[in-house]
Amino acid sequence: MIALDEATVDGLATNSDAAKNGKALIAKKKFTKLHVSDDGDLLFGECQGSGKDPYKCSVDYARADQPTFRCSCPSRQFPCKHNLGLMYAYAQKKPFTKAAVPADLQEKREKLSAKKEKQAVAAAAPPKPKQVNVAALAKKVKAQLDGMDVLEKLVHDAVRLGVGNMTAKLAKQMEEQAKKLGDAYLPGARMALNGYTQLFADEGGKFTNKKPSAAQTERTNTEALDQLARLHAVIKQGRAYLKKRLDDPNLEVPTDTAIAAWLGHAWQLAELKARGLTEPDAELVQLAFNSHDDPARQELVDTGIWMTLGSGKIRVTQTLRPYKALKFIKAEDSVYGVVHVKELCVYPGSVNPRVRWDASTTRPLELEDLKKVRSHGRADFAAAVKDVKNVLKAPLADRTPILALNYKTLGKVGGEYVIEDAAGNRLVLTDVGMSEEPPSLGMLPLLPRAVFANQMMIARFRHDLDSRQLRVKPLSLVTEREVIRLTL
Amino acid sequence: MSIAVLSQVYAEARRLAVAGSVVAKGDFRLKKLIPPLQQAGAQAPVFAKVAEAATAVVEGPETGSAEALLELTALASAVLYTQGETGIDGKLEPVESSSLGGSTLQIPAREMKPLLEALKGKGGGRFAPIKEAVEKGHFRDLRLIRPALAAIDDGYADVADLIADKVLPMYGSAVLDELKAKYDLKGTKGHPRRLKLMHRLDAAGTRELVKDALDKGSKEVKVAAISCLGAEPEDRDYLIEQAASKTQDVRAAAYEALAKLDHPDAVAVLAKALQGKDLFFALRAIEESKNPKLAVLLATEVRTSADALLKTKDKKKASDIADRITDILNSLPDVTAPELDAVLLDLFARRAELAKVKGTTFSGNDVVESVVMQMADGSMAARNALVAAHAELEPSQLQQAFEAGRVCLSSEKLYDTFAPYLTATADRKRKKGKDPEWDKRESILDGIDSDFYLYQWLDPDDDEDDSDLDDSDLDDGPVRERPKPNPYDPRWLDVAVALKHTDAVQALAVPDHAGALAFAQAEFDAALKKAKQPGEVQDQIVTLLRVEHPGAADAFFAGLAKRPKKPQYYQYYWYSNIIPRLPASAIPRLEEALAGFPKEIVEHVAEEWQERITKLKAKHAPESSDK
Repeated sequence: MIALDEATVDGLATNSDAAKNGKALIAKKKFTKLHVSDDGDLLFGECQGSGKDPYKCSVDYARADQPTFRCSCPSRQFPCKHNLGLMYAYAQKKPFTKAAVPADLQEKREKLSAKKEKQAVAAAAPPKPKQVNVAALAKKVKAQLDGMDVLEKLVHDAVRLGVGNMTAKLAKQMEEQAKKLGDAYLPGARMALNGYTQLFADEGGKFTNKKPSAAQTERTNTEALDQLARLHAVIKQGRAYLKKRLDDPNLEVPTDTAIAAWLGHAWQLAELKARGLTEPDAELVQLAFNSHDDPARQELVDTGIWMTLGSGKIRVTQTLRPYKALKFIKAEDSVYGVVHVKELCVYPGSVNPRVRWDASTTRPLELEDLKKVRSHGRADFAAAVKDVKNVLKAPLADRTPILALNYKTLGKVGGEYVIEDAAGNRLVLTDVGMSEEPPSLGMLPLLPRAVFANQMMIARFRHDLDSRQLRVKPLSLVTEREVIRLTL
Repeated sequence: MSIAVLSQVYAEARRLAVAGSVVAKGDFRLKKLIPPLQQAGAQAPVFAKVAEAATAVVEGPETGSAEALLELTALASAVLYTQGETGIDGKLEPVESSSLGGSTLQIPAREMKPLLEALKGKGGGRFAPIKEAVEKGHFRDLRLIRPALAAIDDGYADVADLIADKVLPMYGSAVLDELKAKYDLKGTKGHPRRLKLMHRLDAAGTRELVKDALDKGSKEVKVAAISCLGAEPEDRDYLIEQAASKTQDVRAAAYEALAKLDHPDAVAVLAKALQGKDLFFALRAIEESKNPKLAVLLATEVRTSADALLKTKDKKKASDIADRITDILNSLPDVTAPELDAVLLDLFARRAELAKVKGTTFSGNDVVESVVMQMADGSMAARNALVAAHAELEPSQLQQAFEAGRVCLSSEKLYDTFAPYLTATADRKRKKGKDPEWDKRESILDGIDSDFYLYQWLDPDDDEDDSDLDDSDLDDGPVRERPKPNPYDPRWLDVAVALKHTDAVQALAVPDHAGALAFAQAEFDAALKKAKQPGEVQDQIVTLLRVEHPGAADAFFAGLAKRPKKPQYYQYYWYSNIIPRLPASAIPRLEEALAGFPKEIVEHVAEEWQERITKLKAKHAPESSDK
C-alpha cells in the first residue's frame, strides 16, 4: 500500500509549476484511466495530452524509498506533470481501480529489479583495486599546477594593484582570465576567484560603473582582503597537495582537509562510501532551510540545515541548480518530518560538513524527536564560542558555522537582541553580513512569550573583521512543541 | 596589549592592501609596529611569526610584496578570528512581545520563496500569487509580516491596497508600532495607507496622528486623515470646513466622510454640493454611503431640477439640467426609499410633458429614459406602474416594462399582458416605413432573449478564469435584494414557434414540445440543404440541442460533413463549443471526425476539440456519478 499525501507529492515535484500543472490535469479531468496494481505498489494510468493518443504514466513503489517514474510523454522533467498528476489523484483519493499490470510495464519493472539485484551483488563483493592511469594523471596534475601559477599571478596582481584600485571593469577582465582555471581542471579555484571579483559587481552579478557608497567600499575592502587571504591559502595548500599527488599517483584524495573540494574535486557518493565516510541508519531533522542566488557561480543554491538525531551533529545538504538547468533539477523544499536514511554519506569538512543520500523515507516529527534535538544544544556558550573560534582561524574554514545553542534568556540589552546562558555568558544577535537567508531579527518581537526563556536557537556565527565582533544570526527556535523557522 | 598591536598590524596590512602592495616597501607605520611584536613574541611565538611576516613586507623585495602582504594578513587575521568579542554589558531587558496569538502556521519554502519574491519585487505578475496567498491564509505565517509591512509602499497600487486592506489588519496591534515608526505625514503612496490602517486598528490611539495629518500632512495623507474623521462631534465642523477646500481631492474625501454622518449639517453640505460643480463627488459619496436618508436628498434634487427643466425655454440650460438629472438617476444608491419611488413615479407620470423639452445635447427624453430604466429595476410599486402603462409606452420602453413584469406579474398574467404584442404581427412581415407594432414585437423578443446566455448554457463549467476573490468582494456595503423573475408560461414557446423566431425558441425551449421539435428539424433541414460549409448550420444545431431533439447529434455530424473544397478553420471552430452538450454516444464519432480533419484545420482546432472530448468522456465516465 502506498502512503501518499499532497505535501509529499509537492516535495517530489521539480518545481512549483510542475506541481501546479500536475494538479491542473486532475482539475481538467485529463486522466482517462487510473489504476493500481494488485500488489498495491504501482500506480498507473492514462492521461490525455495534446496528441491523439494518451500518455501512459506510472509511479512504481517497488522500492518504497526510491519511487520510479515512467511516462510516455517527451518531457525531460522527472517526475513529469503526468506522474505528479497521477500521485495527486491518488493522494486526493480519486477512484483507482485494481488492474493487471500491462505487459510492457511489467517487463520494465522486472528489468529494473534485476539490475538492482546485480548492483547489490556487485556492491557486496570486495571492491576491485582502482587502476590509476599514471601518465594521464601526471598530465592532469601538471595542468593543475600550471593553473595554480595562473591563479597566483592573478591574485598577486590584484594585491599589487591594490583592492582600492580595483574597478568593475578590471574585475570583469580578471573573471575572463580566470576561465583558464576551468580548463586547468581547477573549477573550484575559479569559483573562489570569482568570489573575489564578484565583490565588485552589483547584486545581480553584473559589472557596472555605478559607484558604491563609502561605507559599502569599506565593507568591500575588508571582504576583499579576506577573500585574497583565502586564495593565498588555496594556492599554498593546493600546490603542496598537487605536488604530493604528482609524486605519488596512488595518493587518495585527503578526507581530513577540504583542499580537494576547494580545487574543484566533486565527491561522488560511491567515492564517499568507498572511503568509509558514511553513517548507517541516520535520522535527520531539518532545522532550517534557505535557497539563495549565487551570481558568482551562476546558480541557485538550496541549503538544508539538519541535525542528526543520534549524534546531534549539524550538517548541511546542498543542491546546486545552475541557471541553465533550472527546469530539470528539482528545487529542494523545506522538510518538516524526520528523514530516515539507510546510508548517510558525509563529505570531508569541519563543523557543518555537507551530507548526501540517495534513498530515504520520511515520518512525522514527534515531541520525543524535539526532546532529542533539544538535548543536543550547547548550554555553555563560552565553550561553544571557543570551538567556533578554533574553526574560524583556519584559512579555508567555513566562515559562518552553525551551532545549536540552548539559552536561558532571550532579551535585549540597549536595543540589541541578546541570548544568555545559565552562567551569564551572552551572545549578541545580528542580521548583518549573512544575507543568504532572509533577515530574521524582526520576527522576534512577534513570537509568543514562551520562546524568550529556556529554548534552543539554531544560530549561524559570523566574525565581523571590521568591528571584530563574533555575533550570531538566529535561523530557527526549537521549543518543546515545534521548530519555529525564522528564515525559510 | 599584544592583541591591540595585532589589530593595528591588521589595520595597516589592510591599508596597504587597499593602496596596493607596491607601496608597502619601507612603510613607516607598519615598521613602527615590528619592535612591540618582537617583544610580545618572546612570550607567544605566534607574535614572533607575525613580526617576521611584517619585516618581510617592509624590507623584502618589491617583486615579493604581494605574497608577503598576503602572508602577513593571513597570520594576523587568523589570530584575530580567535579574538572576536561576544558579550555585551548592560542590563538584560525582556523583549516586548506583541505576539499575534491565535493560530499561526509555517508554509513550506517552496511557497514562501516565490511569495517573498513577489512581495519584494518590482515587475509584473506579482498580484496573482499574493492574492492567492491571501485566499489560502498563508499570511498567518509570521515570516511574512515584515515583507507585508514593506509591501504597503509597493509601487503597484493594487498590491499595496490588497496588503493594506486584507493582510495587515489580520495582524492587529502587533504591527502598529512598525506602522507608526515608518509613517511620514509628508509622504505619499504608502503613508496615507499607513494612517488609514493605524486608524482602523486603533482609532482612539491614532486620533492625534490624524489631527496632525490634517494640519500639516501632504495632500494624500490629509485626504486619508479626512476619511478617518467622524467619530467625534468636533470632526463635523472640520469636515464641513474641508468640504469648501480649494483642493478637489480634499473636498471629495470630506463629502465621503460627511455622507457617513447622520447629521442635518452634514446633509445640508451634501445637498448644496449636489447643486453645484461637485455634483459628481457628492453623488459618489452618497452612492457609497448606501444611506437611505441621503437618497431623500437626491429625490428632492431630481424633483426641483425636473421642475426647472419644464420651465426653462433656453435649450442650452435645458440640456445642462437634463444632463444633471440623468447623472443623478444613474447613480442612485442601491437602497429602498419611498421618496425615490415617489419622484420616479411622479416623473413617469409627467413623461409626456418632459419629452417635449428639447435641449442642445440632452433633452427631456433622456430623463424619461433614465426614469424608465430605474423603474424597471426598482421597487415593486415602480415596476407595477411601468407595467400598467405598457399600452402607452414607446416601443423602446416596452422591453423595460416586459422585464419589470417578469418579476411583478404571475406567469399567466405576463403572457396575457405582453403576448398580444407578438401575436398582432404573427401573420405579416414588417411594413415599409414606420411600423410601431413591429417595433413593439421586437422589443418584447429582445426582452425574452436578454436572459438567455448561450455560452453559459453550452458549457456551464467553463468558468476557470473566474477567481474566487473578485473585486466585488472588496465592496462590503449592504445590497438591495432583487426578486427572481417568474418562469415563462408554456404558451410563449407556441408563439415563438409560430413566429419562427429562432432566438426566442432557443431562449424559451423546453423538452418534448412537438411544435418546437418540428420547427428545429425543419429549420435545420432547410439550412443544410443550402449550406456550403459547416458554419452555416451551427445555429440550427444549437436549436436542435436546446429542444432536446433526438437527432441533434446526427445533425452535428451532418453539418460537419458539409466540407467545402477549401475549408477554413473558423468554419469548424465554433463546433467545439457545442461538444459539451452532445450525448456520450457521440464520443467515438467525435474522435473519428477529429482524426479525419485536414491538416490546416487540425492545427487550429485540435487542442480545443481534444480538451472538450476528454471533458465529455469524464462527464459520462461511470465514476463521475459519485462525485
